[in-house]
Amino acid sequence: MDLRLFQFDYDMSFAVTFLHPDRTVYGRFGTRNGNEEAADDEISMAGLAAAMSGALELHAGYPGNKASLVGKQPVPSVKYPTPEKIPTMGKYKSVLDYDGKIAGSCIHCHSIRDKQRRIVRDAGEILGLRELSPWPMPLVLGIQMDAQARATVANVVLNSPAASAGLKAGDQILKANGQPILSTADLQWTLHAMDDNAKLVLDLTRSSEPITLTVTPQNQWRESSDIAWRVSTWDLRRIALGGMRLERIPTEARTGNIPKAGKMALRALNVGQYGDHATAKKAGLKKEDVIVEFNGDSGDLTESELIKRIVSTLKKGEKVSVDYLRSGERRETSFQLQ
Amino acid sequence: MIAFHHYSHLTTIVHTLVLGTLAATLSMGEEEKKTRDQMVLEDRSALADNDHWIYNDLDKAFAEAEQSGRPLMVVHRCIP
Repeated sequence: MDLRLFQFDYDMSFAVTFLHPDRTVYGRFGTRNGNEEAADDEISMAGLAAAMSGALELHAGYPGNKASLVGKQPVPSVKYPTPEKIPTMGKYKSVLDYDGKIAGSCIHCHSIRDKQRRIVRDAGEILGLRELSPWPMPLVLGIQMDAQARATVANVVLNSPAASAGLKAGDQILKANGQPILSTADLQWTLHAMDDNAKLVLDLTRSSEPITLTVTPQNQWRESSDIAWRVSTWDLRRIALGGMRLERIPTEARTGNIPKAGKMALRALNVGQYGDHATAKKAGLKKEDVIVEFNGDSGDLTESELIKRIVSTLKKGEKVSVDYLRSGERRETSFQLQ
Repeated sequence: MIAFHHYSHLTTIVHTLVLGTLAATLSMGEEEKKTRDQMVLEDRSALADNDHWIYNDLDKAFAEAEQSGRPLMVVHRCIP
């Protein structure tokens, strides 16, 4: 797979790219956030058909619309042209081994992200927030998209940046920062590439009337995007949390010694048992322990926010302290980051 | 990877694929679950000689698209 051409959310298990024969990208399709029960709210055949229809419209207008497509094109400066060229990828080749272990010879798309992160960490560097928050969902601005339609808003979260900008359910997004939008994935691409301090200018139709709105993201919007559902976050848990999977305890469920709202309360849903994922286990941590302070930070973070904070500020080999509750008793341990 | 560039039939084809997958899942019932290798091989034989999809041959897809002037839809996916 040519990574200079096919740049999509590598945590997806179904990703579509629409292209002109000259390799100009018209758009992308394929979004989910790991909530299997609500998968129909994220992706649908109707949504795909609508995106295809939009791609045909762009094709009919090409090359007159080429300038508007510039922002949708792949980033040319990729370090490795194909997944198998990534040094940490190991044994994998560019083709499946149909005469041997077929599935075992397949490079999982999320590995493209995992393996490149590993190179950065092994070099003793930190990872940037853009790398740690790939393809943010529009929900990070308060926009819930309609999976059944073409780039259409289903709901707007109260008091969100989108609500402040005046966005409403039923609005169809035609362009974002000048780029034609065919799907939720297209909107994610725009957010993925956007500078942290930039605004999102949306050209819409509302009841057949054209409208332009400007959404001003809240501070640290990229940091707040949820990555807990991503397959590639499994390896980040090894790096940052010693192999633990954590879940923020809801405010209303905090009883006994568990800190109240505004303070850290992350329950260990799972603690890795093997290899590099067993670092927290070796430090004495167990499933159901409640993390209340991590390396001096006791803010009321989600697992996603904690992982990003650790990996974007601390390097491999640095020792972190962990304060936790077990059966109500406060304990302390430490381990080295990977 | 599947590349498709005959847009006029696409919706029908994709719907057919999804319904086929659902039907296969429902009919398996108590039968032995297939291995991923089996599913990949069955998927390849179902699509490799398909009139509407080009399977694992992007160069061919671009060549046909350039000749016909039609756009491409390239799908990367996990099986199942």
